[in-house]
Amino acid sequence: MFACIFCVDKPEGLAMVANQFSPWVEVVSADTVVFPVDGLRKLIGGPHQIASAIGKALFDAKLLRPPGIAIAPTPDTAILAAQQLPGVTILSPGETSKLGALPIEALPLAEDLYDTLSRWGIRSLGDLGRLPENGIAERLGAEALRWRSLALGQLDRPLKPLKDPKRYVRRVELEYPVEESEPLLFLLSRFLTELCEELKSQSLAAGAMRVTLNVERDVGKQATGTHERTVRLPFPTRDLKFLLKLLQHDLEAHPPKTAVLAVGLEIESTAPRLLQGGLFVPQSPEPEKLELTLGKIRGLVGAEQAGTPELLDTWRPEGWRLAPRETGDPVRAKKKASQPDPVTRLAFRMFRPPRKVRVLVEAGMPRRVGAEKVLQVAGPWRTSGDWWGESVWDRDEWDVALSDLALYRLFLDRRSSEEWFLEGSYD
Amino acid sequence: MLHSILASASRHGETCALVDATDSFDPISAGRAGLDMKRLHWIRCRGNVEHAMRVADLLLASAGFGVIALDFCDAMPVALRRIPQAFWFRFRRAVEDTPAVMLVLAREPQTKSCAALAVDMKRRHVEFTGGFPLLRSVEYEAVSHKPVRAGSAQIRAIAS
Repeated sequence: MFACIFCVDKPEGLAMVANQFSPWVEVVSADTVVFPVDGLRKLIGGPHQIASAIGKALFDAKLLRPPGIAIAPTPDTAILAAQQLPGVTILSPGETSKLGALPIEALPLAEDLYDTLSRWGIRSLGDLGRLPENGIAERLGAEALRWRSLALGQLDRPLKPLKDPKRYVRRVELEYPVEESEPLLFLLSRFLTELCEELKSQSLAAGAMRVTLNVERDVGKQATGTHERTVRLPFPTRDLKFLLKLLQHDLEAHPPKTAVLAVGLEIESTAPRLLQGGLFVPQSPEPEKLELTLGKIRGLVGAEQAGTPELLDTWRPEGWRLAPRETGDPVRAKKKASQPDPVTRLAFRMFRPPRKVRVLVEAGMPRRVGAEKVLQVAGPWRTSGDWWGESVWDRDEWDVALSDLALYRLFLDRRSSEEWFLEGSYD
Repeated sequence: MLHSILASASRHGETCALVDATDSFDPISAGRAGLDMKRLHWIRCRGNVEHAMRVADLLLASAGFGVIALDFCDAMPVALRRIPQAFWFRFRRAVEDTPAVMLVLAREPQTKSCAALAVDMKRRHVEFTGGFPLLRSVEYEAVSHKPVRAGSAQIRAIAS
């Protein structure tokens, strides 16, 4: 449900009144604001209590001119009702009688459309709503169909709230250059505490953190440089300890090279995460704990060496990429686990990079790989592609069983003519 | 066997981690085996056995994983011999009271007395078929060395 306030008196105070009820306020025009009220049911009560609370807030803000207040299932219906019906209007889902009584002039129709509807004898929104949907679409087009939906109170759209202009930033100039990470973390901890409190007061959470360190450009000199690190969070949170640990891991993995002269922290705000746990959901690591562990692991093996593989839609060898896993949204198990594949598939082990080998070829077929005799061979399988880009490949592949019982995939790189490689082994 | 275990765990919605000591995991063949990639964390250690052990330690401490697999198949034997046995005892202690499975793959036995189950996989037969030959299947014999009552099974893996 959405509430709309229409008030021509002191319109600059409207958004502030609306902000008392929701952080997501769409300013439709100078005298109209609309905002969601779904979350207020437990806090204030039903639509009547909410409307009463809005009226009281308007009175407290000294908006003396009697305003139009409407609560309706969609933003546009609430706006129409607030602007056209005086006093408090509450529309429940499917209720059309109050809007239906409004004259057709209540809609800001184009002149030609208004003329057409007048000639048809359409005098009220109720008349417009009773016209057949297909007939309107065929004769008057999509615009008229939209007005018909509005007349029925069915026109829905996402709210377009004002972007929060507030920036969550803290910065401090240090009295003397700091080289150790501990004092920096102490300051960052203080910043985080303050910023998380601010986020909490706005029902927001952190989506990313940006640390800006002003550092000495050269050791012992006055010229300064900037060391910037951005930590993108896999899920929105305002867990202080977790955020501080993430910053600690990031600074340990990417420390400033010289002493720090100033510390700044900015948090990008986002909507908080809502998760419903389940009794029968299989065990999975706690997102916060997992992210900290992955942060440590990335610091150990390198950021590009850990992640979740994603298969690419290509026949290119190594057609995959490693992507960071979104730990915030646990992948839920399907209600019924799919039946296990009755067939065991042959696994393949890659050699990275492919191993260059000497191959003896007779009659176009590999007969010896290194010192080993080829007992059985299947191929060649010719593949090529991406000739338009830098990742071009063109090769002939063979599956070979050797006399030492090894089973390899062998390929001839046709671009470098006579170079043979072992791509991997079947295991 | 690794792909089958990971695929089975991921099918049941469990989160899996693969510590790939020598960067030899092939996501394409694992995908064909039915592994749900969204449930897999793949950590590539590029031949560094020490890193692999530390990563496994961190993953065990994190808890909540269904399967943690350590792949040492192509690792240098010299590096594997340097792993202190205390590591395996610690890993066993970390895993034994949890529903998680820790899987260690290597050419030679590594975990010794710490393993609850030790299976030796041996390739028995490679089948190529047709006038224009195709790699059809590979037959393995899985021999269980631990528990003491050893048993064996024949496994036929189809090339896809």
